[in-house]
Amino acid sequence: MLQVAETITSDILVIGGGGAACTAAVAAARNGATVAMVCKGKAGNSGNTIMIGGSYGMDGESAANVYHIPGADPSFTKEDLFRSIVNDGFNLSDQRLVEQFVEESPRIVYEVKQWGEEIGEKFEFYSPANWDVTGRSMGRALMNGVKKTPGITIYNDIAVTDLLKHGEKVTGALGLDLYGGRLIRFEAKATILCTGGFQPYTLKSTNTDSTGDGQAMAYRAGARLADMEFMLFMVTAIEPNEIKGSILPALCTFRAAFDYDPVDGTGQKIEIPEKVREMESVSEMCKVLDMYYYGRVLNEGRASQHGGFYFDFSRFTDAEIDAMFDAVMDHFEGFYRHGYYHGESILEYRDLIKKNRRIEVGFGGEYSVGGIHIDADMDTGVPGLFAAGEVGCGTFGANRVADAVTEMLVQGYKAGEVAAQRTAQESVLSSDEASVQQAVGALESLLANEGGIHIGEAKHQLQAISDRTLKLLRTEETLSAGLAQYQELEHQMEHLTLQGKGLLYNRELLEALQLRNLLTCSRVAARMALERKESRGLHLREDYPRIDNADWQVRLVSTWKNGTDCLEKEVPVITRIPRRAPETIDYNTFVLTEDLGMKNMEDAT
Amino acid sequence: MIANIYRFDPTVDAEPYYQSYQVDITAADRMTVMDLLISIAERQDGTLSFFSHSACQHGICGRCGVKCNGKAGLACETLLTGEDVTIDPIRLPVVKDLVVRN
Repeated sequence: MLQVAETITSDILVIGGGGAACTAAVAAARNGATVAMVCKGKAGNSGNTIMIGGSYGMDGESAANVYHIPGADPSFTKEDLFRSIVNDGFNLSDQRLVEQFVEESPRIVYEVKQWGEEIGEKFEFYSPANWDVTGRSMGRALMNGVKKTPGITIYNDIAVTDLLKHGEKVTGALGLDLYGGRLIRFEAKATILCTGGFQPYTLKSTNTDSTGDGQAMAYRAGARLADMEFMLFMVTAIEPNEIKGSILPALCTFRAAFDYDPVDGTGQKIEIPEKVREMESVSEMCKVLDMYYYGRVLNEGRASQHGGFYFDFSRFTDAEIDAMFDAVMDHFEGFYRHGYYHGESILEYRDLIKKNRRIEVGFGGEYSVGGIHIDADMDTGVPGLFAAGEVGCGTFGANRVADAVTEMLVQGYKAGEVAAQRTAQESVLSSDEASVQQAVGALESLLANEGGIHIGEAKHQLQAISDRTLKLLRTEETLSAGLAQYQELEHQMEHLTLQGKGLLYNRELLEALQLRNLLTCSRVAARMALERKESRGLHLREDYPRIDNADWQVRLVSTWKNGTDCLEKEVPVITRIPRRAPETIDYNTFVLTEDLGMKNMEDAT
Repeated sequence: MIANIYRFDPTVDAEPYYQSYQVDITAADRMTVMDLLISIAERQDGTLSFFSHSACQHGICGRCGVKCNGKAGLACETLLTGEDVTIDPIRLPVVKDLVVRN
């Protein structure tokens, strides 16, 4: 019989250790709350936050006129930022959330930059109002902000296994102290989930902790999940094996300096219209278009050995390849040690390309657009439960182009403010014993199982099913088959059997808990992808190659009721930009129009 | 190749010991020490503990340090050559096996 070793009480419980968690903790503490910040990894050094290899920013008006940033371009207005998010999101954004993003991001974006610069981290400005930053710099900046804010206590390396409730209200969570091998009960007036995304794929560029814990725990506790069918992919290394999962190959898409031929597994050139390829240099919308073209190649069975394709350089000389890499090297100077991108050698990558004349790459999971349904106060609708950052959804609709880094900071801050202010006069309720027993019991039964599927096998199955099901270009057949396979795996996982039976750094136990959460998210994602009979944003259907603005300008929202996912359609909240005309746009035409559809969509208003 | 791995569960073991695992890895596979540990845990011995709960896998977080043949380095960045290896915790005391409070 497992026992809870300790109970820790605070006003606000923040679960997570990345950008949303840090700003939530700071905002709650500034509003007078005591904060317990519980992180599966290490606060400021975990989650998708440290994987950042890009930038964040605000609108140009605020940067130029409010913060007086030299070089900021005020012609990129708040209105422009708002419209671009809604347009890029194919009109599924909750426009109240977009409003919150646009209006409230300048303050926290600027402050986090200050936190970083105070401790010597590099934030490099570029127009209109963005800063390049590395994940570790962002993490250190955030921790500087957390450490100088009184009232926050950090609990690192504790995996939260379930939320705890008093009646219908979330009143805390059960934590598994990985290094201590013991259970901790956290109790608080409000809980803020900042646990990041879910990545069910074999190939992904995220930290191993992005396992959908927050989404699945919230779903079990009564919250709704939405937009789960929209998964963002990015060009990711397959070879050399030691850098598999790195986004280093993305530098080859810096079109000002680089050129290559995309080639399939048989050596045949993948035909992509030149104007679509040119888009790599001007817009992140290229990711949506890449999914379409490469998705077709993969569905035709033309994948390379490890499920991807090749960047082929055989028409270039060594000197030309050297010149391409030399041209981008400066970009990383000062962010990483010379010649490196994060921990990976750019020069070794170059030399492998020169040796083989081609390099195998694939599309890896980068960010999950869907998540917990929240309003513009980051309220999940379950009393006492808030969610912020990648774990939530709504700002980006069907496709994320704007900064996820900005999203996590601005939503975390909001959640912390609202949670602290709303609960200031309340007292902490003790969680129901039945709720605690249920959470503890789930761990006990995992440890007690015998004779069932092994965790390694279950994990590989989940990844393989996800690769086939939630892929770039989806079909009724693969989605139906995948959904059935997820359910069969869930059935098998009821008897999931671990070799280690203790609590002390039992990585099998942690993997089992994570896998259970990932499976929940994947199943809901497949259900939504099957339901959405059109192509929109990051959800592309080979059997429905059209944007259906008549029937599908709606979000899909799921509730867990009596052991079933109950899906409903929800019209997105509109504050400024009206819905598109109720017409159907052929996807092949859409991707080939001169401005790749975006201007056309504007005109439709 | 053979991997000799430091094992110690302070809740059970009186003394640390080494456990040997036979694995089929060559230099051409370009496998890292992290790949090796995951492979052993998934295929041979699920009780093996090593840092894996919040791992970036790309030399960013710096938390998966071990000693490979006496030399300290990140498990995710240390390449195997196909020769036998001995894997030790990066320092003592351990939480369990190769896991230290870091």
